[in-house]
Amino acid sequence: MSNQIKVIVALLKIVEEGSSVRMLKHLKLSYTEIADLIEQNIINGNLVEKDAEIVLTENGASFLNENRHLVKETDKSKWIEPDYKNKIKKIARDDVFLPSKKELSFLKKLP
Amino acid sequence: MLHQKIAKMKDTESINALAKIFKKKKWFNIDDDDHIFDTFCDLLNILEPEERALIIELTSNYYWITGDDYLKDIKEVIKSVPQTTFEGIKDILLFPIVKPTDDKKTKSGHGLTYDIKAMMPMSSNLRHVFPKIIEEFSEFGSGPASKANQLLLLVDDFIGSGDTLDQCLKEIEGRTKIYYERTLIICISCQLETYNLLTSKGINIYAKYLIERGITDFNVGSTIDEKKDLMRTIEKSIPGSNSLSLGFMESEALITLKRTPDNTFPVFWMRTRREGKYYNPPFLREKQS
Repeated sequence: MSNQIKVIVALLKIVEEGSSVRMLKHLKLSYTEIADLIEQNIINGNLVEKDAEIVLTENGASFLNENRHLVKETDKSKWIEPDYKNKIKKIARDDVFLPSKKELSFLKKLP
Repeated sequence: MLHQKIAKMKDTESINALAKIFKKKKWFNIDDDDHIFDTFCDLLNILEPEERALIIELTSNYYWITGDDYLKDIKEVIKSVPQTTFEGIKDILLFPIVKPTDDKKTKSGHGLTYDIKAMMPMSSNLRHVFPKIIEEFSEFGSGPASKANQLLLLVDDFIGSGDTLDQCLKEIEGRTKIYYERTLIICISCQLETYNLLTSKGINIYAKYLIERGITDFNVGSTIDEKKDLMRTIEKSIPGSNSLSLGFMESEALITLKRTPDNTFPVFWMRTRREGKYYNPPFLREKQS
């Protein structure tokens, strides 16, 4: 059951991003199963077809948002966070940087 | 249906559209292990959005005729010949449409001549007629190709540009006289352009399917050239397709029979290479020896 929800979430995410169905292939779905899955989700109102275009409905979008955590995030910018606390101020090209003796841990004597 | 502009299709959209085409054309019945569908989807996956939309558009007008259909189809074609044609006819001479260079080789026309011969005794209008298969060009010799009480049937599954037929007729004419009023071209499918040309020359031709040009006959105005250019872009990544761009002699055919004729757009039957990897076409042809 949870796998069934997972594939639906994956499909909705693919539609939202306009990305390739590779993730569904990774979940071991065949192309005919993917085609059936798309059709089911059009019938159950998660997706809607406008001519040949397929987009998320409001229902589909909220279902995706509730269950987004079930599928692995493939967008790197969303799971690699910048390390702000270790960020230092940029100094000018000709500046000479002399750290205080206290901050240089390798000068400290080992206990 | 006329298609106007170049559309774009996402991966999911092309899979959905392809599944609809397969259902509508009952192709899943032929493709019972989904192999062709899978191959098709793998190919769509690597194409650009505009390219996908073009392939889907072409596929919606595509004919896929399997060997299982041949007997039923050729029967239908024979039945469509007006009954008056057979009045006073004692013999039917059957000859496959082949190039002189393919003489004595087994081509698709051979199987069909045999099928026609076999069905004649069981057919209400042809059971009194005697069928005779002509095996090779050398049998056309003394005397006319068809005497007053004979009909010559030239048979094939597909007539594309008409080039093979032309060579075949010339070879026979080099040996004997063809009486066109007693000659019928019998085929399962023929390109519409070629059909019209032959008919205008007064040649009797009968076909079940008349095949239109995939881009030119389904689009209007500048879209035709835009889509042809888009197809040429796809063909850039199909090794060996250069001389067959848009199909042999730019036929733009959309048909697969027992084999796919080279008149069909190469993308449907030749391998596509993208980023160093080869992708099989849906209607891959067996290797030529």
